[in-house]
Amino acid sequence: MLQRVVFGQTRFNLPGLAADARGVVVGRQLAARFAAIDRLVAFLRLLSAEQSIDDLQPGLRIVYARGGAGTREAIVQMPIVSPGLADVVAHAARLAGGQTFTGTGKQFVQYRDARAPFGYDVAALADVAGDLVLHGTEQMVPYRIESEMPLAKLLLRLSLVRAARRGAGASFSDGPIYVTARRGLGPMLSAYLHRAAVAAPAGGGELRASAALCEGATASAFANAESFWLFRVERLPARMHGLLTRTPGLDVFVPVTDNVAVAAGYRHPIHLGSCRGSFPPDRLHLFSPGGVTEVAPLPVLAAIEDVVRVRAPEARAATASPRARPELALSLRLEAGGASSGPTVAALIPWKRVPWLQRLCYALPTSALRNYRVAPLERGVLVRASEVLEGIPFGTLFELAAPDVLVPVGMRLVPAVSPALLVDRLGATGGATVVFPERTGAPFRVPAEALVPLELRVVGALAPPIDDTMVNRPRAESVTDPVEIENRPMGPMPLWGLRGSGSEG
Amino acid sequence: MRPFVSDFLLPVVRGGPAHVGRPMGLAAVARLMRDLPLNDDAVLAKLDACRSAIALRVSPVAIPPPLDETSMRLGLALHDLLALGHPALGGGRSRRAERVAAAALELASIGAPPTAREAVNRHSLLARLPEIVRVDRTVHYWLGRQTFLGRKPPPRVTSMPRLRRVRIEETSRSWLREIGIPVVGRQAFLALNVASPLGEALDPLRLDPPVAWGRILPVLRFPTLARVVAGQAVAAGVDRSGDALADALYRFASFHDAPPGIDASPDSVAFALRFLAHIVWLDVLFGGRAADKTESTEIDHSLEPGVDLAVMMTAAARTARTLVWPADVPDSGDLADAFRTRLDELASRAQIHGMPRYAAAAGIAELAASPATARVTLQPTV
Repeated sequence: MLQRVVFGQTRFNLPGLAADARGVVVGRQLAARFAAIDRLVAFLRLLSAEQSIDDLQPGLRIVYARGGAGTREAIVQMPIVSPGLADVVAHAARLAGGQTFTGTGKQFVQYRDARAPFGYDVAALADVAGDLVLHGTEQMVPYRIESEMPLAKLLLRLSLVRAARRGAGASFSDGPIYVTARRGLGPMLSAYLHRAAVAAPAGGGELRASAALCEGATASAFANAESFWLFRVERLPARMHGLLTRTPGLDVFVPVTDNVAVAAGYRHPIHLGSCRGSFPPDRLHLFSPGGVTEVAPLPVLAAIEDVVRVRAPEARAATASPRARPELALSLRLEAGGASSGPTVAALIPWKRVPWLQRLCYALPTSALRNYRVAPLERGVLVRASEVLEGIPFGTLFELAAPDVLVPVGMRLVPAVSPALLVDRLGATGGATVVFPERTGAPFRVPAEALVPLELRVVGALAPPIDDTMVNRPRAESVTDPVEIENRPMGPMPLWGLRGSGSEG
Repeated sequence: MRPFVSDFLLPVVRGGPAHVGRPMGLAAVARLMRDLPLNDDAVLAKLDACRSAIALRVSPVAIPPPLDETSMRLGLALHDLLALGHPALGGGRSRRAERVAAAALELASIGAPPTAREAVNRHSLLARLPEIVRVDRTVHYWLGRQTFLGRKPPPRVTSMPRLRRVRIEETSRSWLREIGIPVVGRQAFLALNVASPLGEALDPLRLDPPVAWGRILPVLRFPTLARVVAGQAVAAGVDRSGDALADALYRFASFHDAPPGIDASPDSVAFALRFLAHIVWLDVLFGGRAADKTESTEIDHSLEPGVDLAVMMTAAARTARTLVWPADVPDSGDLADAFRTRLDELASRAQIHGMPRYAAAAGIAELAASPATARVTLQPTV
C-alpha cells in the first residue's frame, strides 16, 4: 500500500528515501521494469538519445527476474548520478511501456507521477523474501533475480536496422569512413584510391586514405584465419560512393565513435555514441548485418602511398616498347639454338590432341598428376611441371629461357639478355608464366591462378576456353534481390479463399 | 496456379515484389496441385534454379527440390502469415485474423522433416524469411496525408504533385524484426519453424523467437546438416553462438520452450550437450586461440561472450566425460592434450564468472548422463 508524499515531508517509511531540493522523494537508485525485451531495447534507445549511458556506469545492471506471479521480466537498475536523471529515465521508460521505481538496496517504490508530484512512500514495510521488491500503486511484487544480461553483450547481439531503403543508393557525409575489403581486393582498392588521390585537384577537398591488413580479426577462432584489408578514407568524392557500396567484397562502415563503426545504410537500435564505455578502447568494432567484427588490437594504418603496389610492365608492352626508341630497343626473337640446354618443363597441347592427354592421364603416376599443373587456353592446354616434364611426348615442348619464361625446346631468345632482366621486363613474376609459343607468334602470359593441378582438372571435363583464360563455369541463378511484400486488393470478401478448408467457418 | 507461383513463391525465393492477396486454406492445396501441369514453364524452371542455388549453400544437390504438396503447404502458410498484416483484414486481433491464422496453422502443421533431403528442400523455399521487408508509403499533400502499407499509392493520390504539394515518404521495415508476427499468428509461425527448422538452426543469434532446441534437434540428427550448422556456429563465433545455444539449453531442459517442438528427454539433452562439445572440438582442431591469458578474479571478464558456454561445458565434463569426449578419440596425443587444455580454460572461466549458473548446468548434465527415470518392463501379476 502506497501513500503520497507531501511537500516538506522529511521522514519516510522506506529506508534510503530522501527528499531533494524540489521536495521530490528519490532513493540512491532507479529501477525500470519491462515485460519484454523489445520494450527494454526501446527504452535503452530512448535513454541513449538523451543521456550518456556511460555516465550511469558503473552500477547499470540489466537483470531478468521472475515475479511472484511467475512472470519473467527485465529490470534495469541504475544509480542516480544527477538530480534530473530520474525524470529523464521515467519519461523514457513510460514511452517504452515500462514502469520506474526508486529506492536503495532491494526495496523500491514507484517513482512520482501526475497523481503524486512529490512521489510515493510505503505505508508499512512487508517482510517478503526476494532479491528485489517493487512497491507499486496497485500491488507489491517481490522478484527473484534469475540471470543478468551485461549491456555490452546486449549491444553485440542486437541486429542492425536498415536506415535507407535497399537499392536506393548509399550516401554518407564527407567525414571519415572505414572500408573493409577481401584480401584479394585490397591491392586493387588501394591502387584505385591512390589514383583518385593523385588525380584530385589541389586544395582543401582532396581524398586521403590509409590502410592496414588485419589478421585474426575477431574473437572467433575461425575468423582468425580470415584476414582482410581495412581502409580509412576521408573526403571520399560522391562519385565513388556507388562503387564502394555495390562492389561485392567491399563493405563500408560509418564511424560512430573512435573505435565503433556501423555499416553504411544501417543503424544500431541503440545510440552507440552514448555507450563508449561498453567497448574496450583497444579494439575496433565493426557492426554489419551479418554480425560484429572485432579488430584487436587497434590497427595501425599506413598511408595509401606506402601501401600501393608498383607493378611490372606487361609482356606485350615489353615487345611493343621498341617503337618508342627505334634507335636502341630491339624486339625479342626466337632462333634455333642447337641442342637443348635444360630439361623439358612444359608442353602446349592443341585441343585436337587433348583426347590423347586424357587417355594418357590413366597411365601417369600419382606424382605427375599431383605436380603437373594445367591451364586451358584458347590455343590448347598448357601442361607445366615444376622440375621435369616426363611422359608427354606430343604437343609443343618447352624449356626455360629464364625462370617462368618458356621457349620451345631447341630454341633460344635473342638478344641474349640476362634471365633476371627477362623476368623483370616480361612480367613473369608472382607465379605468372610467359610463353613464346613459336618463332613468329607473339608471347602470351598465363597468370598463376589459371594453372591448377592436373589431378583437379582431370576430375572434371576439359572444355575449350572462351577468351584465352580459364574455362568459364555455368552461371548460378542469382538470389540476392530483396524480398518485398506487395499487398494486393482482397476484394469485398477477403476470406473467400478459406471456404472449404478445415478451419472454422 | 501460375499467379501464385510466379507472383509469390518465385519472388520469395528469388527476390522481388511478392504479391500478397486473399488468404487460402488447406483446400486450395489440392486445387493448386491439380492445376500443376506447367513443367515446361519458364517460371517453374526459374523457381527450380533458385531453390537449387539456395539448397547448394547447405548441401550438394543433384536434382532441384520438387514443387510438391509439402512445398505448396509451406508456401501457402507463409502467404497467410504475411496476409495477417494486410490492412484489409482489419488488424491482428480481428475475428478475420483469427480465421486466417488458424488456416495458416493448419497448413504449416506438417511436422519435422523426415529426411535430410526433405529438410533441405523445405529450407530452399523459406531460407529468405528474415530478409522479407515491407515498404510503407505515406503521401503528404495539401489537405492531409494517407498511408499505404505495402502497396504503391494509386495515381489519383499523387496526381498534380506541384499544385497539391505531394510528397511521398517511404519506410522499409523488416517483417520479422520490426513489424513482427501478430499474436494470433505466432503459433503458426512456430509450426512453420518446426516444419523447416534449418533456417532457425543456421541463425542461433536471433532474438525473437529465440532459438529452441526442441525445434532444431530433428534437423541436427542428420549428420550432413549438423556439420553445416556446426560450421555456421563456428563461423559466427564459438563464444557467441555457444552462449546462445547454451542459453537455449536451459530453457529446453526446463520445459520452457513454447510448443510445438519435441520435449526434452535425457537422450535429447545429451545430444545437445554433445553438439555443443562438437563445436568446441572444431575450434580446438581448426582454430587458434589469440592469446592464452591467465584469468584473474580482480578483473571482470564476465562482459565477454563465452561464459555460458564455459559453464555448460565445465558442468558436462565434470559430470560425465562421455558427454564431451567422443568414443573414437584416444586419451593421449596432441589432440587430446589440446582439448584437455581447452577444458581447463573453460573451467577456470566458469569458476570465476559463472558460479551462480553452475548449479543449473550441473543439473542438466546429470539429467543427460544418468536419467532420473528409466523405462521398466512391467510384469503382469497373477
